[in-house]
Amino acid sequence: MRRVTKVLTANHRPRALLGLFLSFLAVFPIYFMVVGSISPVETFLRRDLGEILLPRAFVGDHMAVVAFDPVFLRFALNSMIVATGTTFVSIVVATLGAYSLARLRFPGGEVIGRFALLTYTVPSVLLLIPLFKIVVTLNLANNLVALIITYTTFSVPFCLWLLRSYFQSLPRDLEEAAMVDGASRLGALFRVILPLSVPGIVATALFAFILAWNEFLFALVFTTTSDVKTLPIGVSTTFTAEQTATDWAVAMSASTLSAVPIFIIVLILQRGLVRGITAGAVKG
Amino acid sequence: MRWGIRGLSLRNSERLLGIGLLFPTVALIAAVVLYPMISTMWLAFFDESLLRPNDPAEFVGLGNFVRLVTDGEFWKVVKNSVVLTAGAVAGEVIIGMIIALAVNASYRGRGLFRTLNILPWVIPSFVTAFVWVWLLHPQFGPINAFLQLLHIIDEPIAWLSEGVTAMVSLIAVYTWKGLPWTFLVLLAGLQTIPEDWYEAAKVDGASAWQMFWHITVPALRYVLVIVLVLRTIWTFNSFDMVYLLTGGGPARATLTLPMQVFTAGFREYNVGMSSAIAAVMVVLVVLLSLIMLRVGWVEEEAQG
Repeated sequence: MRRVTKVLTANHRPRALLGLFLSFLAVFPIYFMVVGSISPVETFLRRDLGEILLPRAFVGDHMAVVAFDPVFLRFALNSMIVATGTTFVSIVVATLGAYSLARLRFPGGEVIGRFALLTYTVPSVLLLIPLFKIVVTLNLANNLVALIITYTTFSVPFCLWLLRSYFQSLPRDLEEAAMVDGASRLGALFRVILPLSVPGIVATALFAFILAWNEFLFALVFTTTSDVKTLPIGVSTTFTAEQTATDWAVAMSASTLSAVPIFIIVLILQRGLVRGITAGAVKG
Repeated sequence: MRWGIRGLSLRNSERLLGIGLLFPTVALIAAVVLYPMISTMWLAFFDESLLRPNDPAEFVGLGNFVRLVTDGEFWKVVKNSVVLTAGAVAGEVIIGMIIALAVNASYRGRGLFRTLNILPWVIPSFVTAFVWVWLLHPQFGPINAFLQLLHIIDEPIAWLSEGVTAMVSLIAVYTWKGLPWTFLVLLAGLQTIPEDWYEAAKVDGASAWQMFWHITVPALRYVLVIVLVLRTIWTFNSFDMVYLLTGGGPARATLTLPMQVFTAGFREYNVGMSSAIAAVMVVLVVLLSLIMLRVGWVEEEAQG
């Protein structure tokens, strides 16, 4: 079905071109970053726009410098641990909660679900000092576990709502049939609903992953030594020397490599990502 | 009998299970969001320093707030936050609306287009900051090179080192990063407007501009309010790119409230002051969202 606003398309070609131009503006900094990371150092010095857009040669030196740097690899490993940990815990917690909200109606459930979403309007800096004190008291300072718990809390409300609407889209008859055959509620959830929800769970998991991979503020406060720093803190404190052109080439390589998992997720999810990101805001 | 003892106990056990399954979510939010939130609001009334961990916190009533409102520097920080938020949200909504209207028309390769455009929103903020510090760099940055090529400027501009240009740059970067979300939500909203409304208006001889004001905007009212409220709150609360791009400088010209909360707490170790600024932030956020929701609501009633 085409839902186009035909009248607005009277002069439709210039509009489409404008759209393309603006989207070029949106993408070109990322393009510069990726190309910059494989450009010769002279490209950064010469300030020739044509050359910045399309370098005469591609070199892998800076990429290699970063990719084989044990410090960078440590940051990447930490990020991977935190992001997968967060993703796993978030999915477990949110799956249970979402099933509860989707199927097991009880007083207050709906209110709690909506209330959870309000966490997205809370300024993170508001929580910093008390959370930092808790982390220190629990002996979790400079420990990746503190980051996993914090990130899980912030990803759960979103996961909860995505999964809830996914579960609601599955017909109730499936579980009821299983329960008539003697399965318990939980049995029906694990054996009937979960296998059917794999696509929804994967998409939701990737959202949790992105959130944890990108987080900056709590990582800045909770981690102090480079053996536990994640990429955002590690790279932005280690690769920032902006004195020479080589520094810039290396910085662009570190940025590009840090964003690779995000690029991959974007490619995997495509439309699903867009739908998830705009979820709720339109339907309300 | 359906409502027999068995049925009732089944219902009760389902309720219990429901509460049990939601418990981990509630516990996490209570421990990581709710408790710290209340704690910060409480600490705002105390004089406490992380440098004196053994001294008991001293109750000072509204002392911290009095110091804030009488401090001229604090109002500049509030102003910076408002300018940055208003600039970035206005930029996102205006540009986002233009792109959404342009591509809503009919678009081939929409999938790829949308996929690529989402990138600024999903890449890590430190990557965004790195790229833009390079793009804006006076010596190596392509933006200066481009502007010089077009003879718009003669000398390279040190964008992030002058008060006004630093704020303008921050607004531009925030706009760039927030644009994909704003654009996609507006586009999704546009696509729910039935085509016949425009056709009917066209039959009545309406101009494109009239149709925009009398069909598109009212139909998008709800989506617009949501976009404005959420983007305002998120930008207002945002810490990382201010920290990474300017650090609040030069000379506090881009110091925003979240940055100030962080600095007071983790650079000056002044828990009370940091908490008081955070409390002011929360009040401003709540007020802002109430005003916007109210405006959207009143208009909705006026429109019938």
